[in-house]
Amino acid sequence: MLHDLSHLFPAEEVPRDKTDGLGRISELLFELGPCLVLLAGQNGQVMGVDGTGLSLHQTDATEFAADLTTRLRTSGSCIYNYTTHAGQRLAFGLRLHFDTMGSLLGGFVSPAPGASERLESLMPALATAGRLAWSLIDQQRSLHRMEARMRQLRAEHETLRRAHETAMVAVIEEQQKRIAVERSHARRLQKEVEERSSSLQEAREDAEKKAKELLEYSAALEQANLAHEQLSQAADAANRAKSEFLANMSHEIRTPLTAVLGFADLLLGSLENQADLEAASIIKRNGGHLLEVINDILDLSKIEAGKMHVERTACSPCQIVDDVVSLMKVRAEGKGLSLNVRHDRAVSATVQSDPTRLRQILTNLVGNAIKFTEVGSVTVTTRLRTDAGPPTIGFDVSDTGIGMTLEQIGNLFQPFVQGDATMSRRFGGTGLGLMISRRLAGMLGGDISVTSEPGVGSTFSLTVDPGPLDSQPVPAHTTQVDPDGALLRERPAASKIMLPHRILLAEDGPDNQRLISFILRSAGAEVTVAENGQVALEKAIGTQPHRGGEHGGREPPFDLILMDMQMPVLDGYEATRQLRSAGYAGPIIALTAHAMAGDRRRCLEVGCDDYAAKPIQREQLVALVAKHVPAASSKIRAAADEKADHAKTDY
Amino acid sequence: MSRVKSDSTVLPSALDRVVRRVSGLSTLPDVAIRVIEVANNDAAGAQDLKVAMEGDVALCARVLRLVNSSAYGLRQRVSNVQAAIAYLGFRQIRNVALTACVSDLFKEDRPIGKYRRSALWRHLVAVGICARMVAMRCRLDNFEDVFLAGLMHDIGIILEDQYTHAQFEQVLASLEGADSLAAIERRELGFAHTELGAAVAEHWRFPDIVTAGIRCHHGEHRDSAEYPKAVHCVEVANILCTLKGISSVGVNLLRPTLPPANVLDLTVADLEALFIDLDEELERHAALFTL
Repeated sequence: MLHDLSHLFPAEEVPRDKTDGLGRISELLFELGPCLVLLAGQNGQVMGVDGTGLSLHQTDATEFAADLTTRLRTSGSCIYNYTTHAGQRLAFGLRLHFDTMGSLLGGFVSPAPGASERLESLMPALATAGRLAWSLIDQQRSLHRMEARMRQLRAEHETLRRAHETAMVAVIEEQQKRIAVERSHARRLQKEVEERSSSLQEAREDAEKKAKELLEYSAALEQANLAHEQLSQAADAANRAKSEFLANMSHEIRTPLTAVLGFADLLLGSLENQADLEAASIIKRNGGHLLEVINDILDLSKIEAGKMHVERTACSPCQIVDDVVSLMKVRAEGKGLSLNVRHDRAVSATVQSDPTRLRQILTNLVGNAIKFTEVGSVTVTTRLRTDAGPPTIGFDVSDTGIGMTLEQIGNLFQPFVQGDATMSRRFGGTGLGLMISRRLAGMLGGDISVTSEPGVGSTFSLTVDPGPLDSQPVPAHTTQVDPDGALLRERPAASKIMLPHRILLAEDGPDNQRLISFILRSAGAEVTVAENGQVALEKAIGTQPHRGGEHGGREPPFDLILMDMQMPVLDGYEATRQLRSAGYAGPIIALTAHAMAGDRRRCLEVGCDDYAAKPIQREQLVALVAKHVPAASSKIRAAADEKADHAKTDY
Repeated sequence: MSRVKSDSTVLPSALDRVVRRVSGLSTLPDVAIRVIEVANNDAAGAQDLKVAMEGDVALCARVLRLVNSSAYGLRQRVSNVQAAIAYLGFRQIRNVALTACVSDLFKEDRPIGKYRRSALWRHLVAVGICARMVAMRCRLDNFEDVFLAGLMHDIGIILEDQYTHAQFEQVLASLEGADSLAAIERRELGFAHTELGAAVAEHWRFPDIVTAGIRCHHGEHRDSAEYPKAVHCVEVANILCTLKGISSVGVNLLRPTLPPANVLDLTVADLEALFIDLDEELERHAALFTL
């Protein structure tokens, strides 16, 4: 088969080596004539050629070899003698006796004489030499093949190595590229981080700046607050100053008023001439009005200054209503109105409230009702209201008067405003009453509301907080106040009270000394006047030896002391304190023009038993004194009788 | 490429018809087309090939079976395509995958005389392996491409069998005593298997070197081929295998006509060594024959 390959490569020469076995053979045969020797493969292919004196074309050699090989198939060796047109020819063929080996072939163009015989004898030697030559060539071929295989393996190895190297280089390059990409990515990230942190820094600085601004702003605000507080403190101080001023003014006004009213009273009691009486009553009426105005202003200023205090004591709402009604009864009668009281069954017998303020509010409401009602009636209804929220005590004051429009109602509780501007001219009054009443009602835990219809009438509803309601309700009843005043009759008229007692009046003002002395003496009392606290102290307990009188220290020389609180040398407070600390146990009643809330408490603190505000009302004073004097002893009364004339001359 | 196309314009229309039929049917599975696509892309890497193959589980299994066969002599068993690529390289795995895909065309043997599809496949595999050996002997870097060119060189014959079966029978019947297969093919079909194979390979976008191997392995167009050495490798391998009796259509029609200048620089001894060693190499790759 391999011979096909040599067909593929005609350029490839058949190996020809002069030193190989074939050369020796041709040398050996040279004596027989010029010859050609061939080694042929099993199929006749030429394996090697050698010749002496003969040149043979490759194709001729191949054909010759093929021809002889075919002839040799039948015998191991042969010798041919044949004649051609060109002359005598001698050829031989020799099987080399191996499967893998071919044949040794030879030919002589012009054989020497006897060459055939000679060749015959040489055949065994040729066989040996042929085998040798064959194995040489075979080994040579093997060598070539081995070399080729080596070349193949070397080439494969080198190619694979190169391919591997290329692949590895590619991998390394790829990784380097990736590393470079990642590195640039990292750089970009770092840059980004730097940028972000710088912008973060900016943001932080910005925030700090804003926080600083905020701090400055809040400092400014604080300063503004401080200024505001100072302003408001200044305003408070101004308000307090105003209240103080009002209180002082009221003292300054009320003190002389006391005298004016007192002496008007005095004149009314002693004058005979009708015209004089008229004048005195005008003085008294206008003075009273003035006092009312001052009291209202004082109340209002106290409320506004926050100095108005209400107390909570047990009191009977029905009793308070009854008191007010009996006081107002005269005025209602005067206008021909009927004044009705209706107590609801559910109203508690006692509530926790301030009876003084309650009385003040009710007086104002009933007074208004009477003032603005020409015909008909005024009705006061007391009841327990549980309709909305916690229970309250309600007082409804209804009238059949002129009534009000909604606009007028809206103006009702404004200071200095009445229903409308014409009213004050028609009806008089300061316009402060309702406002004060409403503020007081608020302080008592309630309110005042109003429903009204012009020409039909109005109803003012007062509510107050009753406090804990644990007492029994009173039976409901309606009282028709008798024009003759059954209730009123129960209380003896102050003018009819007799005071057969010894009274020390400590008062610095000469007008008041004379007025109060006159009132008390008219009621039958024996009055001793002291012009200041020091004198009063001496007279009451006789601390001065040279003044020690017939009473000695055995018993108090006076049944009662009326003590003005504002006096020179030693004021009423100090005098009272010293009296009490010296063991004086008799009743002491304070007199003061100071109507502020703290005054009464202060008086009681230093030891006074009660309190009377100036200006002094005759009936009030007498009733107050009568309340506090101890049960009159006949001895004192007798002594008082004896000295009545003397006292009069004193005055 | 453009040169090949200009050639195709002068081809008989019979070729165009068959080419259209071949490309109209999914003769080659999608995965093969994907693998070729990846192979053609210079920027593609092992990862791309892995992704292209992973879709076809059966293919991957066949590839792994091949990779783990004695042919590659791996010490460790390879259990995934990625590892296979790492061990054997991008091009070798590509070849194994395409071999597996193409082998499907040779199933269902329908004997015609001495012709067997299985024998043709054996011929193709042997030529591929031999061509690679020659390429390595000649120190060609693209020896794996040469393998593929050898494997595909007679793809035209199986396509004739598959798509023009009746005429192909005629061709085979006329073969005895004929000069060359190509001449009979042109007479019966209007084209040679080299032309059909090249046109289809071009359509499938096989690498240019493969198309050249298909077109020129009988010496035609040889002088103008772009890859003369690779084409020669296929040619020599074809001759060696045919001499060994591993022929394409069961008849040895070879009239070897190598160029006067031995471009491959091979000696007879080299060829003898190849010829002898080929048996051993084919034995190692026995798994390919029975894919």
